[in-house]
Amino acid sequence: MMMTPDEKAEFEQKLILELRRGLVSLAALGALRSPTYGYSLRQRLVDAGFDIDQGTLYPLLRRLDAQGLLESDWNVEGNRPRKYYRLSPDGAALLGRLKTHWDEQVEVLNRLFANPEGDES
Amino acid sequence: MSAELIERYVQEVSRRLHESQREDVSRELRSSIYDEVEHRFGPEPTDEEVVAYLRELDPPEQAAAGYRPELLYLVGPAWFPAFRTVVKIVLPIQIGLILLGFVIRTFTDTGFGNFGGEIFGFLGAVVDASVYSFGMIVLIFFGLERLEMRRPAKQRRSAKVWEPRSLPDSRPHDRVGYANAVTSIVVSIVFLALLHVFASDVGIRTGAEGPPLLNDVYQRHLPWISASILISIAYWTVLLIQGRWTWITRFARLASDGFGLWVFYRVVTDVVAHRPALVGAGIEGPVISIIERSLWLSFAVAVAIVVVTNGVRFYRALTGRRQVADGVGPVDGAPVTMTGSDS
Repeated sequence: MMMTPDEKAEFEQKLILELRRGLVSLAALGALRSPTYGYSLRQRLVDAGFDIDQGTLYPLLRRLDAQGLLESDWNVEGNRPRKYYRLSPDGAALLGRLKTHWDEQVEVLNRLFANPEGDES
Repeated sequence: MSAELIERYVQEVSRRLHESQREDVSRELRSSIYDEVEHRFGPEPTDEEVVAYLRELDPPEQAAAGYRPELLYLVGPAWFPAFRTVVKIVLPIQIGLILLGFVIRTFTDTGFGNFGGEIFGFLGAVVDASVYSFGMIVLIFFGLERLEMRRPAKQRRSAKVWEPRSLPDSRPHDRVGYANAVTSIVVSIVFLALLHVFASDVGIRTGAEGPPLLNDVYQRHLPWISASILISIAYWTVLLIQGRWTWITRFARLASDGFGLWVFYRVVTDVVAHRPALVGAGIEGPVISIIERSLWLSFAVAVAIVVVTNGVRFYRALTGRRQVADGVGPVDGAPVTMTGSDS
């Protein structure tokens, strides 16, 4: 059954979303170099070119926090209470491993894109 | 107004979350919205600017779903709180009714002798009815879930551009509890189905062949009972769509409850009128008196509940309005200010 243009666009969007979903955790962990609150972290990611909406980022931060990869504290100084997140030792270790894995995957994909036929020729 | 809109959004998200995370999430969500709004529009944004920003966010139900873990499910996060509430209401009521039937039977069944067998029969009935009801509730919510998922992504409720101004009023006396409305609808549907599926079993079993005693009374009133429940379902559906109480819906609720009481009264008086039939079936006078008194007591309790709940509803509406008119309405104040960023 042929897909309509709308269905094709929707399917493509879904693939892009799946691709990004896998990267969001890595991007968030990677951007948490220092204690940061949610809004500021989002700005940091957006400024770096990784567009992410708050409906994705905030639940993710809570999940990472619950898994012990982040540590968090409320800072109630100033006019607005803010929850600051920072990498926990476990989170920092995981980030290191994920970066290594990411670099390997990028290398593999670049090899594939450069030579889609492999070494058969 | 703009602060109230933000509060309404935060409130709509947080009320869909588990209690353990509600306060923390709403605090963080509120703080981030104020940060973003201030960053974009300055310390004193207009209502239009706040509305424009809120439109960019996920609708409250979708935003709340993001805070719950992703699972493969029959009943998804958006529907699960209502599903859990319905199960918690339906199953205990059902078990209670079966227990009541069991107790009545111990008083009326002339052939009641094998106590062990009766206990197993009772437990079997509990398991049967529980499995049946649970399955039916799952089926209803599964249907709701799939209906939503089968729609093209663009047409899904969550994918539509939503209107922040349509968020329910944050005044508690006007707001219709979403879970409460869905729960009422599902419980009514399940109850209605059970009344019809087990229609031939309702009544008093005496061990004799044939339909239970008073089953004819039940069957005669079943259309009226069904009508009362259907009115209630229609009523809750309208409330669910409107999202808030109005004077019309408050009076409609009163009328709906009144109709239900009228049907209940007719059933009770009809049962009482059948005393000779019960005596003729060998049921002893004191037992009949217990049955009749129980029915009248249930009716009195139902009247009391209707009077109290409707009275409270009207009282809250009246006092709430007065407070708002005085400028001290129960609108939840914004606990954080729009000005004074320290980012």
